[in-house]
Amino acid sequence: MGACARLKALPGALLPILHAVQETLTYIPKDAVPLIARELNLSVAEVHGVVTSITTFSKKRPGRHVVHLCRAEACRRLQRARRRTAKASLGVDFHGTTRDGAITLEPVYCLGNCALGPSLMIDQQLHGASRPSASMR
Amino acid sequence: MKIYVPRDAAALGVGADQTAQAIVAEARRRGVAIELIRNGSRGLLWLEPLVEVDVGGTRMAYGPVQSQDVAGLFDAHFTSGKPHALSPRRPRQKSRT
Repeated sequence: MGACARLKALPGALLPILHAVQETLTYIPKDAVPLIARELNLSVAEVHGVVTSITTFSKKRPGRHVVHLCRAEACRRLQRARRRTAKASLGVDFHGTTRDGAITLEPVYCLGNCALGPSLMIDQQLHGASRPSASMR
Repeated sequence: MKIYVPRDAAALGVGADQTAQAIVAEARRRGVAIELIRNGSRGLLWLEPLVEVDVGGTRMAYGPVQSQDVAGLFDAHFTSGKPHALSPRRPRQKSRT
């Protein structure tokens, strides 16, 4: 909970703290919610609400890599076949993790790269104009 | 000589970093002195990574330039602004009637 001590003086500290926790632990453990709530003098419900409504925050430990596939209109227009390819080659549906724990597939609603879609993000790296062969390595 | 390669999210998403690295490596291999400048996109996203070369105060553009295109650009003397298959074409003028 070093993140709490470091960041709790910020105005609107909840989001920076949650981002820091996720960066360190790759997800927001259930046990962290009451701790953060106490530090920020918020109710557990408030923190839980933020963690569960913002889909960027994972509630369970993801695979070693996370692939975010853009599902907003411009990308979906271009990616129908590719979505099948992504699911088929990973053998998982959205929110699923491959059996070896290597890759979690997540939907994302707009990476803001519509002109070069279909877009996906592997960990923190954006990939535009992603074709199945290039993106599924 | 100044060479510009964008580094905004859209350009990075289509390989601008690899293009920039390839330009630096190829210039070193050929002993050409360049100054690589990472700028923002001009917004012509379908041409990203859009590489620009400063030739006597005029910027000549090439795009989309993938890392494997870089050696060919040096072969075509893009550093002096010579045309190449990746030079953006002038749009055909429509006759006004």
